[in-house]
Amino acid sequence: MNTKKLTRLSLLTALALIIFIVEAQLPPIAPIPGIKMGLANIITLVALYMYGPKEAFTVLFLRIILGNMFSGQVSALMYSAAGGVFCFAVMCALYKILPRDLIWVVSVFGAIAHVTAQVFVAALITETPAVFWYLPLLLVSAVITGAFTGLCAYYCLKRWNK
Amino acid sequence: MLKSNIKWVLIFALLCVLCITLHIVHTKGKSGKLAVIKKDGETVKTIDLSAVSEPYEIRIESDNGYNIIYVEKGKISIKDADCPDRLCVKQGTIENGAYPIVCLPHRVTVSIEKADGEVDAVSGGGAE
Repeated sequence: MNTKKLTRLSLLTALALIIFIVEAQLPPIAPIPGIKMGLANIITLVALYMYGPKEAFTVLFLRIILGNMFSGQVSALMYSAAGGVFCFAVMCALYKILPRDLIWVVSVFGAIAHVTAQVFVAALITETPAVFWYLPLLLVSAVITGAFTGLCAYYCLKRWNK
Repeated sequence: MLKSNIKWVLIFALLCVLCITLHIVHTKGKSGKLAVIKKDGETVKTIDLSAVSEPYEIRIESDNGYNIIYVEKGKISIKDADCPDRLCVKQGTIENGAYPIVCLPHRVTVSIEKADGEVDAVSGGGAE
């Protein structure tokens, strides 16, 4: 890992962390648990397309751990981590298959994976199976927010690329 | 490239329509009278909502804070909590079994079940 790459990855991590913390301060969009914009995923996508899965995972991992520590929501770590890791796995599997212009599709599938994982974790932790009924609404929100963050990542990459 | 974009837009739009349909079908025609308050997956309290005459409050203490639950005849809500987003308060009052109130930070849920103790035929066989 050369200095340039290290610096860039550190910058990306810092950016993701800032976005994550600022977003956590915003009031919730809808009175449904688990709905948020997921703007920090823009950075994960950028790191994935610029450097690859290993580097992107480092950025994601650091952002989740530090972000939940800084925003004082350690109890949210479980949901955040489960969603983040599952989302990342799906995006890794898809980013090579789909053409580069379809980042938003990769992002939507990532968001869908994210909410699905979160609902499972929430149902397990609270042992309330009725939590699953939130999934349809969460999927709709995942399609919208996923497409948005995907498009953001697409235009970021267009400008940042070397 | 435009073609494949349109293809994906259609696929996701269809998914949204399906989900919204499912949501509408699910919300309609639910009934239940038994409120179940759970903390960390364990049932803390069950209340027969049809038997409530005077509204009252219950305080649930958890490791991370508290939730104040407001019980009325036929309905139940979370009135106050010290969680960061207070989403459980914003979820408002529930009076049927369609959606449980969930406080994820405190791992507290309030759901309404049918009087015989089953949530309903579909959601009853889930995570437990």
